[in-house]
Amino acid sequence: MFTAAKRTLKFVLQYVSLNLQSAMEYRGAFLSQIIFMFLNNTMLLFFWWVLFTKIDSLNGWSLRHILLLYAAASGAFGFQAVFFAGSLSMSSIIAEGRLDFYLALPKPVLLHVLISRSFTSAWGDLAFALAVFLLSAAPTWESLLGFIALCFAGGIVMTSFGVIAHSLSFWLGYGERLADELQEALLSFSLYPEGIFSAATRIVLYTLIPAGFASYVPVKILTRFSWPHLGIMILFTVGVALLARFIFYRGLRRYESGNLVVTNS
Amino acid sequence: MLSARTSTLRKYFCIGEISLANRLVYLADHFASSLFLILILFIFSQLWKTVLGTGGTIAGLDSTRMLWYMVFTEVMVISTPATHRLVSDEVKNGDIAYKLTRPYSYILYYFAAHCGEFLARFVTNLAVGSAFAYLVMGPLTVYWAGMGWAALGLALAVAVNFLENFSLALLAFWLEDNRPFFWILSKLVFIFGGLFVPVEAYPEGLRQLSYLLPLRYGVSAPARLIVSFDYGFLRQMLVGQLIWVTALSLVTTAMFRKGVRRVHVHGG
Repeated sequence: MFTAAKRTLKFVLQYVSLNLQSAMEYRGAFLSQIIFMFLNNTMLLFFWWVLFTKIDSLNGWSLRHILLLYAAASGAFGFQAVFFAGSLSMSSIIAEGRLDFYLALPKPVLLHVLISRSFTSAWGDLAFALAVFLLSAAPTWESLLGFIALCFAGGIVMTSFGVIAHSLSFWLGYGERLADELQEALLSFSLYPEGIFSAATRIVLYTLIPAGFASYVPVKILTRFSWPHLGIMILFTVGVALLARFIFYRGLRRYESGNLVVTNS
Repeated sequence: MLSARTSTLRKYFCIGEISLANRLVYLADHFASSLFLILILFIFSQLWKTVLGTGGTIAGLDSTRMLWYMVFTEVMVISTPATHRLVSDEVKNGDIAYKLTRPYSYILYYFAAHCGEFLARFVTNLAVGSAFAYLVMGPLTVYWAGMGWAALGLALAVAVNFLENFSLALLAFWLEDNRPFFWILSKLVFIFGGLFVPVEAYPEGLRQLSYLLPLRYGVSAPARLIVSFDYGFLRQMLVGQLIWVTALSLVTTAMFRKGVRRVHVHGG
Protein backbone atom coordinates (compact mmCIF):
# COMPACT_ATOMS: atom_id res chain seq x y z
CA MET A 1 0.00 0.00 0.00
CA PHE A 2 2.77 2.41 1.06
CA THR A 3 4.89 1.43 -1.94
CA ALA A 4 1.96 1.93 -4.31
CA ALA A 5 1.31 5.41 -2.87
CA LYS A 6 5.00 6.26 -3.20
CA ARG A 7 5.04 5.06 -6.80
CA THR A 8 1.93 7.11 -7.63
CA LEU A 9 3.45 10.21 -6.02
CA LYS A 10 6.62 9.72 -8.03
CA PHE A 11 4.53 9.36 -11.19
CA VAL A 12 2.69 12.63 -10.42
CA LEU A 13 5.92 14.49 -9.66
CA GLN A 14 7.50 13.29 -12.89
CA TYR A 15 4.53 14.60 -14.86
CA VAL A 16 4.67 17.95 -13.01
CA SER A 17 8.36 18.19 -13.79
CA LEU A 18 7.80 17.31 -17.47
CA ASN A 19 4.96 19.82 -17.82
CA LEU A 20 7.11 22.52 -16.25
CA GLN A 21 10.09 21.73 -18.46
CA SER A 22 7.85 21.73 -21.50
CA ALA A 23 6.43 25.16 -20.56
CA MET A 24 9.88 26.56 -19.88
CA GLU A 25 11.17 25.45 -23.25
CA TYR A 26 10.01 28.85 -24.48
CA ARG A 27 11.15 30.90 -21.53
CA GLY A 28 10.03 34.28 -22.87
CA ALA A 29 6.50 33.04 -23.57
CA PHE A 30 6.43 31.30 -20.17
CA LEU A 31 7.33 34.47 -18.30
CA SER A 32 5.06 36.73 -20.34
CA GLN A 33 2.06 34.44 -19.75
CA ILE A 34 2.71 34.49 -16.02
CA ILE A 35 3.08 38.27 -15.96
CA PHE A 36 -0.07 38.81 -18.05
CA MET A 37 -2.12 36.56 -15.80
CA PHE A 38 -0.77 38.32 -12.73
CA LEU A 39 -1.77 41.70 -14.20
CA ASN A 40 -5.13 40.33 -15.30
CA ASN A 41 -6.00 39.29 -11.75
CA THR A 42 -4.70 42.55 -10.32
CA MET A 43 -7.01 44.51 -12.61
CA LEU A 44 -9.99 42.54 -11.33
CA LEU A 45 -9.30 44.04 -7.92
CA PHE A 46 -9.79 47.54 -9.39
CA PHE A 47 -13.58 47.20 -9.16
CA TRP A 48 -13.41 46.35 -5.46
CA TRP A 49 -11.04 49.22 -4.79
CA VAL A 50 -13.53 51.64 -6.39
CA LEU A 51 -16.43 50.07 -4.49
CA PHE A 52 -14.66 50.30 -1.14
CA THR A 53 -14.01 54.00 -1.70
CA LYS A 54 -17.83 54.29 -1.44
CA ILE A 55 -18.54 51.84 1.39
CA ASP A 56 -16.76 50.65 4.55
CA SER A 57 -18.03 47.10 4.72
CA LEU A 58 -20.08 44.65 2.70
CA ASN A 59 -22.14 42.57 5.13
CA GLY A 60 -19.07 42.15 7.33
CA TRP A 61 -16.60 41.82 4.43
CA SER A 62 -13.86 44.44 4.31
CA LEU A 63 -11.43 45.09 1.44
CA ARG A 64 -8.91 42.90 3.27
CA HIS A 65 -11.40 40.01 3.25
CA ILE A 66 -11.93 40.53 -0.47
CA LEU A 67 -8.17 40.43 -1.04
CA LEU A 68 -7.97 37.16 0.89
CA LEU A 69 -10.93 35.84 -1.11
CA TYR A 70 -9.10 36.59 -4.35
CA ALA A 71 -5.92 35.04 -2.97
CA ALA A 72 -7.77 31.85 -1.98
CA ALA A 73 -9.79 31.57 -5.22
CA SER A 74 -6.78 32.31 -7.46
CA GLY A 75 -4.65 29.89 -5.47
CA ALA A 76 -7.27 27.14 -5.76
CA PHE A 77 -7.71 27.70 -9.49
CA GLY A 78 -3.93 27.94 -9.89
CA PHE A 79 -3.48 24.52 -8.29
CA GLN A 80 -6.18 23.04 -10.50
CA ALA A 81 -4.84 24.56 -13.72
CA VAL A 82 -1.15 23.87 -13.01
CA PHE A 83 -1.37 20.36 -11.57
CA PHE A 84 -4.76 18.95 -12.67
CA ALA A 85 -5.57 20.86 -15.85
CA GLY A 86 -7.00 17.71 -17.44
CA SER A 87 -10.11 18.50 -15.37
CA LEU A 88 -10.63 21.61 -17.52
CA SER A 89 -10.89 19.77 -20.84
CA MET A 90 -11.98 16.20 -20.13
CA SER A 91 -15.23 16.40 -22.13
CA SER A 92 -13.50 16.56 -25.47
CA ILE A 93 -11.17 13.69 -24.47
CA ILE A 94 -14.20 11.57 -23.59
CA ALA A 95 -16.38 12.58 -26.55
CA GLU A 96 -13.63 12.17 -29.14
CA GLY A 97 -12.58 8.75 -27.87
CA ARG A 98 -9.15 9.96 -26.77
CA LEU A 99 -9.34 8.11 -23.44
CA ASP A 100 -7.94 5.06 -25.24
CA PHE A 101 -4.42 6.37 -24.73
CA TYR A 102 -4.87 6.44 -20.95
CA LEU A 103 -6.76 3.15 -20.75
CA ALA A 104 -3.92 1.30 -22.43
CA LEU A 105 -1.37 2.35 -19.81
CA PRO A 106 -0.86 0.71 -16.38
CA LYS A 107 -1.60 3.88 -14.38
CA PRO A 108 -4.77 5.16 -12.64
CA VAL A 109 -6.84 6.49 -15.55
CA LEU A 110 -8.44 9.48 -13.85
CA LEU A 111 -5.24 10.68 -12.20
CA HIS A 112 -3.36 10.27 -15.46
CA VAL A 113 -5.93 12.33 -17.40
CA LEU A 114 -5.84 15.06 -14.75
CA ILE A 115 -2.08 15.50 -14.53
CA SER A 116 -1.33 15.11 -18.22
CA ARG A 117 -2.24 18.75 -18.89
CA SER A 118 -0.95 21.96 -17.35
CA PHE A 119 -1.76 25.60 -18.08
CA THR A 120 1.35 27.73 -18.11
CA SER A 121 -0.53 30.96 -17.38
CA ALA A 122 -1.87 29.45 -14.13
CA TRP A 123 1.58 29.88 -12.59
CA GLY A 124 0.62 33.55 -12.71
CA ASP A 125 -2.51 32.74 -10.67
CA LEU A 126 -0.36 31.01 -8.07
CA ALA A 127 2.10 33.92 -7.96
CA PHE A 128 -0.82 36.37 -7.66
CA ALA A 129 -2.40 34.34 -4.83
CA LEU A 130 0.85 34.31 -2.90
CA ALA A 131 1.54 38.02 -3.44
CA VAL A 132 -1.97 39.09 -2.40
CA PHE A 133 -1.86 36.85 0.67
CA LEU A 134 1.49 38.30 1.73
CA LEU A 135 0.14 41.83 1.26
CA SER A 136 -3.25 41.39 2.92
CA ALA A 137 -2.36 39.18 5.86
CA ALA A 138 0.40 39.59 8.43
CA PRO A 139 1.94 36.28 7.47
CA THR A 140 3.92 33.95 9.65
CA TRP A 141 5.51 30.73 8.39
CA GLU A 142 2.61 28.78 9.93
CA SER A 143 -0.08 30.93 8.30
CA LEU A 144 1.75 30.79 4.96
CA LEU A 145 1.87 27.00 5.07
CA GLY A 146 -1.79 26.97 6.12
CA PHE A 147 -2.67 29.22 3.18
CA ILE A 148 -0.87 26.97 0.70
CA ALA A 149 -2.60 23.91 2.16
CA LEU A 150 -6.00 25.65 1.90
CA CYS A 151 -5.32 26.64 -1.71
CA PHE A 152 -4.43 23.03 -2.45
CA ALA A 153 -7.66 21.84 -0.79
CA GLY A 154 -9.62 24.46 -2.76
CA GLY A 155 -7.85 23.22 -5.89
CA ILE A 156 -9.00 19.67 -5.13
CA VAL A 157 -12.57 20.94 -4.74
CA MET A 158 -12.39 22.78 -8.09
CA THR A 159 -10.74 19.79 -9.78
CA SER A 160 -13.37 17.40 -8.42
CA PHE A 161 -16.16 19.68 -9.57
CA GLY A 162 -14.52 19.84 -13.01
CA VAL A 163 -14.31 16.02 -13.15
CA ILE A 164 -18.00 15.70 -12.26
CA ALA A 165 -19.04 18.38 -14.77
CA HIS A 166 -16.96 16.90 -17.61
CA SER A 167 -17.95 13.32 -16.75
CA LEU A 168 -21.49 14.25 -17.78
CA SER A 169 -20.15 13.74 -21.31
CA PHE A 170 -20.25 9.98 -20.67
CA TRP A 171 -24.04 10.29 -20.57
CA LEU A 172 -24.74 13.44 -22.64
CA GLY A 173 -22.30 12.92 -25.48
CA TYR A 174 -20.54 16.20 -26.23
CA GLY A 175 -21.07 18.14 -22.98
CA GLU A 176 -18.07 20.46 -23.16
CA ARG A 177 -20.07 23.66 -23.28
CA LEU A 178 -22.17 22.73 -20.24
CA ALA A 179 -19.07 21.66 -18.31
CA ASP A 180 -17.25 24.87 -19.20
CA GLU A 181 -20.20 26.96 -18.06
CA LEU A 182 -20.47 25.05 -14.79
CA GLN A 183 -16.77 25.62 -14.15
CA GLU A 184 -17.11 29.27 -15.09
CA ALA A 185 -19.96 29.55 -12.59
CA LEU A 186 -17.85 27.99 -9.83
CA LEU A 187 -14.94 30.33 -10.49
CA SER A 188 -17.17 33.41 -10.78
CA PHE A 189 -19.01 32.72 -7.53
CA SER A 190 -15.68 32.04 -5.79
CA LEU A 191 -14.61 35.62 -6.53
CA TYR A 192 -17.59 37.33 -4.87
CA PRO A 193 -18.14 37.43 -1.09
CA GLU A 194 -20.83 35.13 0.24
CA GLY A 195 -22.19 38.08 2.24
CA ILE A 196 -23.96 39.40 -0.84
CA PHE A 197 -25.91 36.21 -1.53
CA SER A 198 -29.31 35.19 -0.18
CA ALA A 199 -29.67 32.15 2.09
CA ALA A 200 -31.03 30.01 -0.76
CA THR A 201 -28.09 30.93 -3.01
CA ARG A 202 -25.65 30.15 -0.21
CA ILE A 203 -27.09 26.65 0.12
CA VAL A 204 -26.33 26.13 -3.58
CA LEU A 205 -22.84 27.59 -3.11
CA TYR A 206 -22.05 25.10 -0.36
CA THR A 207 -23.45 22.09 -2.24
CA LEU A 208 -24.15 22.04 -5.99
CA ILE A 209 -21.65 24.74 -7.00
CA PRO A 210 -19.17 24.48 -4.11
CA ALA A 211 -17.65 27.98 -4.28
CA GLY A 212 -18.00 28.02 -0.49
CA PHE A 213 -15.28 25.39 -0.18
CA ALA A 214 -13.12 26.85 -2.93
CA SER A 215 -12.79 30.25 -1.27
CA TYR A 216 -15.31 31.26 1.48
CA VAL A 217 -14.39 28.63 4.07
CA PRO A 218 -10.62 29.08 3.44
CA VAL A 219 -11.06 32.83 4.09
CA LYS A 220 -12.96 32.08 7.31
CA ILE A 221 -10.17 29.75 8.43
CA LEU A 222 -7.54 32.37 7.60
CA THR A 223 -9.31 35.22 9.37
CA ARG A 224 -11.04 33.47 12.33
CA PHE A 225 -9.54 30.03 12.69
CA SER A 226 -11.83 27.39 14.14
CA TRP A 227 -11.49 23.63 14.23
CA PRO A 228 -15.07 22.99 13.03
CA HIS A 229 -14.39 25.03 9.88
CA LEU A 230 -11.16 23.15 9.27
CA GLY A 231 -12.91 19.83 9.89
CA ILE A 232 -15.73 20.67 7.48
CA MET A 233 -13.20 21.80 4.86
CA ILE A 234 -11.26 18.53 5.09
CA LEU A 235 -14.41 16.40 5.11
CA PHE A 236 -15.89 18.16 2.09
CA THR A 237 -12.64 18.05 0.14
CA VAL A 238 -12.21 14.33 0.67
CA GLY A 239 -15.93 13.68 0.10
CA VAL A 240 -16.18 15.59 -3.20
CA ALA A 241 -12.93 14.01 -4.46
CA LEU A 242 -14.34 10.52 -3.78
CA LEU A 243 -17.65 11.46 -5.40
CA ALA A 244 -15.84 12.73 -8.51
CA ARG A 245 -13.82 9.51 -8.70
CA PHE A 246 -16.98 7.43 -8.32
CA ILE A 247 -18.84 9.34 -11.05
CA PHE A 248 -15.90 9.22 -13.45
CA TYR A 249 -15.42 5.45 -13.14
CA ARG A 250 -19.17 4.85 -13.30
CA GLY A 251 -19.25 6.88 -16.51
CA LEU A 252 -16.17 5.11 -17.84
CA ARG A 253 -18.24 1.91 -18.08
CA ARG A 254 -20.28 3.68 -20.77
CA TYR A 255 -17.19 4.84 -22.67
CA GLU A 256 -16.86 3.70 -26.25
CA SER A 257 -13.56 3.83 -28.06
CA GLY A 258 -13.52 5.82 -31.25
CA ASN A 259 -10.63 3.78 -32.68
CA LEU A 260 -9.01 7.17 -33.08
CA VAL A 261 -5.32 7.35 -33.88
CA VAL A 262 -3.94 10.48 -32.24
CA THR A 263 -0.67 11.89 -31.06
CA ASN A 264 -0.81 13.13 -27.47
CA SER A 265 1.20 16.29 -27.45
CA MET B 1 -23.12 60.70 -59.09
CA LEU B 2 -25.91 60.30 -56.55
CA SER B 3 -26.85 56.98 -58.05
CA ALA B 4 -23.24 55.75 -57.74
CA ARG B 5 -23.21 56.67 -54.05
CA THR B 6 -26.55 54.97 -53.47
CA SER B 7 -25.23 51.89 -55.19
CA THR B 8 -22.07 51.93 -53.01
CA LEU B 9 -24.12 52.29 -49.85
CA ARG B 10 -26.41 49.49 -50.95
CA LYS B 11 -23.38 47.26 -51.49
CA TYR B 12 -22.23 47.66 -47.89
CA PHE B 13 -25.80 47.38 -46.64
CA CYS B 14 -26.05 44.02 -48.45
CA ILE B 15 -22.77 42.86 -46.86
CA GLY B 16 -24.17 43.75 -43.43
CA GLU B 17 -27.43 41.99 -44.27
CA ILE B 18 -25.61 38.80 -45.29
CA SER B 19 -23.59 38.90 -42.08
CA LEU B 20 -26.80 39.34 -40.07
CA ALA B 21 -28.49 36.47 -41.92
CA ASN B 22 -25.47 34.23 -41.26
CA ARG B 23 -25.74 34.88 -37.55
CA LEU B 24 -29.52 34.44 -37.44
CA VAL B 25 -29.02 30.84 -38.56
CA TYR B 26 -27.34 30.25 -35.19
CA LEU B 27 -29.96 32.10 -33.14
CA ALA B 28 -30.43 29.26 -30.65
CA ASP B 29 -26.68 29.13 -30.18
CA HIS B 30 -26.65 32.86 -29.39
CA PHE B 31 -29.31 32.41 -26.72
CA ALA B 32 -27.37 29.49 -25.22
CA SER B 33 -24.22 31.57 -25.05
CA SER B 34 -26.10 34.17 -23.00
CA LEU B 35 -25.83 31.91 -19.94
CA PHE B 36 -22.68 33.67 -18.81
CA LEU B 37 -24.52 36.99 -19.04
CA ILE B 38 -27.23 35.67 -16.72
CA LEU B 39 -24.61 34.39 -14.29
CA ILE B 40 -22.80 37.71 -14.02
CA LEU B 41 -26.07 39.67 -13.84
CA PHE B 42 -27.31 37.40 -11.07
CA ILE B 43 -24.15 38.01 -9.03
CA PHE B 44 -24.35 41.76 -9.53
CA SER B 45 -28.08 41.91 -8.77
CA GLN B 46 -27.25 40.42 -5.38
CA LEU B 47 -24.26 42.72 -4.95
CA TRP B 48 -26.13 45.94 -5.73
CA LYS B 49 -29.09 44.93 -3.56
CA THR B 50 -26.67 44.42 -0.66
CA VAL B 51 -24.56 47.53 -1.27
CA LEU B 52 -27.27 50.01 -2.21
CA GLY B 53 -30.36 48.53 -0.52
CA THR B 54 -33.46 50.60 -1.24
CA GLY B 55 -32.18 54.18 -1.03
CA GLY B 56 -28.44 54.09 -1.80
CA THR B 57 -26.87 55.31 -5.03
CA ILE B 58 -23.52 55.13 -6.78
CA ALA B 59 -22.80 57.90 -9.29
CA GLY B 60 -26.48 58.82 -9.05
CA LEU B 61 -27.74 55.33 -9.93
CA ASP B 62 -29.80 53.19 -7.54
CA SER B 63 -29.58 49.39 -7.42
CA THR B 64 -32.13 48.88 -10.22
CA ARG B 65 -30.41 51.34 -12.56
CA MET B 66 -26.99 49.90 -11.66
CA LEU B 67 -28.11 46.46 -12.82
CA TRP B 68 -29.68 47.84 -15.99
CA TYR B 69 -26.50 49.83 -16.59
CA MET B 70 -24.58 46.57 -16.45
CA VAL B 71 -27.05 44.91 -18.82
CA PHE B 72 -26.14 47.50 -21.46
CA THR B 73 -22.37 47.56 -20.84
CA GLU B 74 -22.09 43.77 -20.80
CA VAL B 75 -24.32 43.38 -23.84
CA MET B 76 -22.25 45.95 -25.73
CA VAL B 77 -19.03 44.10 -24.92
CA ILE B 78 -20.12 40.50 -25.41
CA SER B 79 -22.01 41.36 -28.62
CA THR B 80 -18.92 42.87 -30.25
CA PRO B 81 -17.79 40.31 -32.86
CA ALA B 82 -14.16 39.22 -33.00
CA THR B 83 -13.72 40.81 -36.45
CA HIS B 84 -10.19 41.80 -35.46
CA ARG B 85 -9.16 38.13 -35.25
CA LEU B 86 -10.26 37.53 -38.84
CA VAL B 87 -8.37 40.60 -40.00
CA SER B 88 -5.23 39.65 -38.03
CA ASP B 89 -5.30 36.15 -39.50
CA GLU B 90 -5.88 37.43 -43.04
CA VAL B 91 -2.97 39.82 -42.76
CA LYS B 92 -0.68 37.14 -41.31
CA ASN B 93 -1.51 34.31 -43.70
CA GLY B 94 -1.77 36.53 -46.77
CA ASP B 95 -5.46 35.91 -47.52
CA ILE B 96 -5.89 39.67 -47.49
CA ALA B 97 -4.53 39.63 -51.05
CA TYR B 98 -7.77 38.03 -52.28
CA LYS B 99 -9.88 40.75 -50.64
CA LEU B 100 -7.80 43.60 -52.00
CA THR B 101 -8.73 42.76 -55.57
CA ARG B 102 -12.46 42.91 -54.92
CA PRO B 103 -14.58 45.96 -55.71
CA TYR B 104 -15.04 47.24 -52.17
CA SER B 105 -13.16 49.05 -49.46
CA TYR B 106 -11.50 46.52 -47.16
CA ILE B 107 -12.25 48.57 -44.05
CA LEU B 108 -15.87 49.31 -44.97
CA TYR B 109 -16.45 45.69 -45.93
CA TYR B 110 -15.46 44.57 -42.44
CA PHE B 111 -17.36 47.41 -40.81
CA ALA B 112 -20.55 46.38 -42.61
CA ALA B 113 -20.04 42.71 -41.71
CA HIS B 114 -19.22 43.72 -38.12
CA CYS B 115 -22.46 45.71 -37.84
CA GLY B 116 -24.58 42.86 -39.18
CA GLU B 117 -23.15 40.34 -36.73
CA PHE B 118 -23.27 42.84 -33.87
CA LEU B 119 -26.96 43.44 -34.48
CA ALA B 120 -27.84 39.75 -34.22
CA ARG B 121 -25.79 39.31 -31.06
CA PHE B 122 -26.97 42.57 -29.52
CA VAL B 123 -30.67 41.80 -29.95
CA THR B 124 -30.43 38.27 -28.49
CA ASN B 125 -28.17 39.29 -25.61
CA LEU B 126 -30.28 42.34 -24.83
CA ALA B 127 -33.45 40.23 -24.84
CA VAL B 128 -31.92 37.78 -22.37
CA GLY B 129 -30.29 40.46 -20.18
CA SER B 130 -33.38 42.68 -20.11
CA ALA B 131 -35.69 39.79 -19.27
CA PHE B 132 -33.42 38.82 -16.39
CA ALA B 133 -33.04 42.39 -15.07
CA TYR B 134 -36.80 42.94 -15.34
CA LEU B 135 -37.58 39.79 -13.38
CA VAL B 136 -34.98 40.41 -10.68
CA MET B 137 -34.98 44.20 -10.26
CA GLY B 138 -38.12 45.37 -12.02
CA PRO B 139 -38.58 47.66 -15.01
CA LEU B 140 -36.25 50.47 -15.98
CA THR B 141 -37.92 53.87 -16.16
CA VAL B 142 -36.84 55.12 -19.55
CA TYR B 143 -37.04 58.64 -20.98
CA TRP B 144 -38.53 57.52 -24.29
CA ALA B 145 -38.24 60.92 -25.98
CA GLY B 146 -34.46 60.61 -25.72
CA MET B 147 -34.13 57.05 -26.98
CA GLY B 148 -33.53 58.16 -30.57
CA TRP B 149 -30.43 60.01 -29.33
CA ALA B 150 -29.47 56.97 -27.27
CA ALA B 151 -29.72 54.80 -30.40
CA LEU B 152 -27.42 57.23 -32.20
CA GLY B 153 -25.01 57.01 -29.26
CA LEU B 154 -25.10 53.20 -29.46
CA ALA B 155 -24.40 53.29 -33.21
CA LEU B 156 -21.42 55.58 -32.68
CA ALA B 157 -20.25 53.35 -29.83
CA VAL B 158 -20.25 50.38 -32.23
CA ALA B 159 -18.10 52.42 -34.62
CA VAL B 160 -15.68 53.42 -31.84
CA ASN B 161 -15.31 49.81 -30.68
CA PHE B 162 -14.86 48.55 -34.23
CA LEU B 163 -12.18 51.12 -35.04
CA GLU B 164 -10.27 50.45 -31.79
CA ASN B 165 -10.11 46.75 -32.55
CA PHE B 166 -9.53 47.12 -36.27
CA SER B 167 -6.59 49.48 -35.85
CA LEU B 168 -4.99 47.03 -33.40
CA ALA B 169 -5.64 44.16 -35.82
CA LEU B 170 -3.79 46.07 -38.55
CA LEU B 171 -0.67 45.98 -36.37
CA ALA B 172 -0.33 42.46 -37.82
CA PHE B 173 1.27 44.16 -40.86
CA TRP B 174 4.24 45.00 -38.66
CA LEU B 175 4.12 42.57 -35.73
CA GLU B 176 4.24 38.78 -35.69
CA ASP B 177 1.88 38.53 -32.72
CA ASN B 178 -0.57 41.33 -31.91
CA ARG B 179 -2.66 39.35 -29.42
CA PRO B 180 -1.18 41.02 -26.29
CA PHE B 181 -2.58 44.35 -27.52
CA PHE B 182 -6.12 42.95 -27.55
CA TRP B 183 -5.59 41.58 -24.08
CA ILE B 184 -4.44 44.99 -22.87
CA LEU B 185 -7.39 46.64 -24.64
CA SER B 186 -9.87 44.30 -22.95
CA LYS B 187 -8.42 45.18 -19.55
CA LEU B 188 -8.48 48.89 -20.34
CA VAL B 189 -12.14 48.53 -21.37
CA PHE B 190 -12.81 46.91 -18.01
CA ILE B 191 -11.37 49.94 -16.20
CA PHE B 192 -11.72 53.01 -18.43
CA GLY B 193 -14.72 51.63 -20.29
CA GLY B 194 -16.62 51.41 -16.99
CA LEU B 195 -17.80 47.84 -17.54
CA PHE B 196 -19.06 47.23 -13.98
CA VAL B 197 -19.56 50.75 -12.62
CA PRO B 198 -19.99 54.07 -14.40
CA VAL B 199 -16.71 55.96 -14.62
CA GLU B 200 -18.47 58.85 -12.85
CA ALA B 201 -18.03 56.77 -9.66
CA TYR B 202 -14.23 56.80 -9.99
CA PRO B 203 -11.90 59.14 -8.11
CA GLU B 204 -11.55 62.48 -9.93
CA GLY B 205 -8.22 61.82 -11.70
CA LEU B 206 -9.31 58.46 -13.10
CA ARG B 207 -12.69 59.86 -14.11
CA GLN B 208 -11.06 62.65 -16.09
CA LEU B 209 -8.70 60.22 -17.77
CA SER B 210 -11.68 58.03 -18.73
CA TYR B 211 -13.34 61.04 -20.33
CA LEU B 212 -10.25 61.65 -22.46
CA LEU B 213 -9.87 58.08 -23.73
CA PRO B 214 -12.12 56.49 -26.38
CA LEU B 215 -13.04 53.43 -24.29
CA ARG B 216 -15.75 55.13 -22.24
CA TYR B 217 -17.49 56.31 -25.43
CA GLY B 218 -17.80 52.71 -26.62
CA VAL B 219 -19.23 51.18 -23.44
CA SER B 220 -20.05 53.23 -20.36
CA ALA B 221 -21.38 56.48 -21.86
CA PRO B 222 -24.23 55.07 -24.00
CA ALA B 223 -25.24 52.66 -21.21
CA ARG B 224 -25.31 55.46 -18.69
CA LEU B 225 -27.33 57.64 -21.05
CA ILE B 226 -30.00 54.96 -21.49
CA VAL B 227 -30.47 54.32 -17.76
CA SER B 228 -30.26 57.99 -16.74
CA PHE B 229 -30.96 60.31 -19.64
CA ASP B 230 -29.58 63.82 -19.50
CA TYR B 231 -29.16 66.28 -22.39
CA GLY B 232 -25.93 67.75 -21.01
CA PHE B 233 -24.45 64.24 -20.77
CA LEU B 234 -25.73 63.44 -24.26
CA ARG B 235 -23.96 66.49 -25.76
CA GLN B 236 -20.65 65.62 -24.09
CA MET B 237 -20.94 61.99 -25.21
CA LEU B 238 -21.79 62.77 -28.84
CA VAL B 239 -18.96 65.28 -29.12
CA GLY B 240 -16.51 62.74 -27.66
CA GLN B 241 -17.80 59.95 -29.90
CA LEU B 242 -17.60 62.05 -33.07
CA ILE B 243 -14.06 63.18 -32.23
CA TRP B 244 -12.93 59.61 -31.59
CA VAL B 245 -14.70 58.14 -34.63
CA THR B 246 -12.98 60.77 -36.80
CA ALA B 247 -9.57 60.34 -35.18
CA LEU B 248 -9.68 56.54 -35.21
CA SER B 249 -10.95 56.48 -38.81
CA LEU B 250 -7.99 58.60 -39.90
CA VAL B 251 -5.54 56.43 -37.95
CA THR B 252 -7.05 53.20 -39.28
CA THR B 253 -7.06 54.43 -42.89
CA ALA B 254 -3.46 55.64 -42.62
CA MET B 255 -2.37 52.33 -41.04
CA PHE B 256 -4.14 50.33 -43.72
CA ARG B 257 -2.63 52.33 -46.59
CA LYS B 258 0.84 52.06 -45.14
CA GLY B 259 0.48 48.42 -44.15
CA VAL B 260 -0.97 47.18 -47.40
CA ARG B 261 2.22 48.31 -49.20
CA ARG B 262 4.04 45.65 -47.21
CA VAL B 263 1.93 42.82 -48.67
CA HIS B 264 3.95 40.57 -50.97
CA VAL B 265 1.95 38.30 -53.24
CA HIS B 266 3.83 35.17 -54.24
CA GLY B 267 1.02 33.40 -56.06
CA GLY B 268 0.34 29.73 -55.53
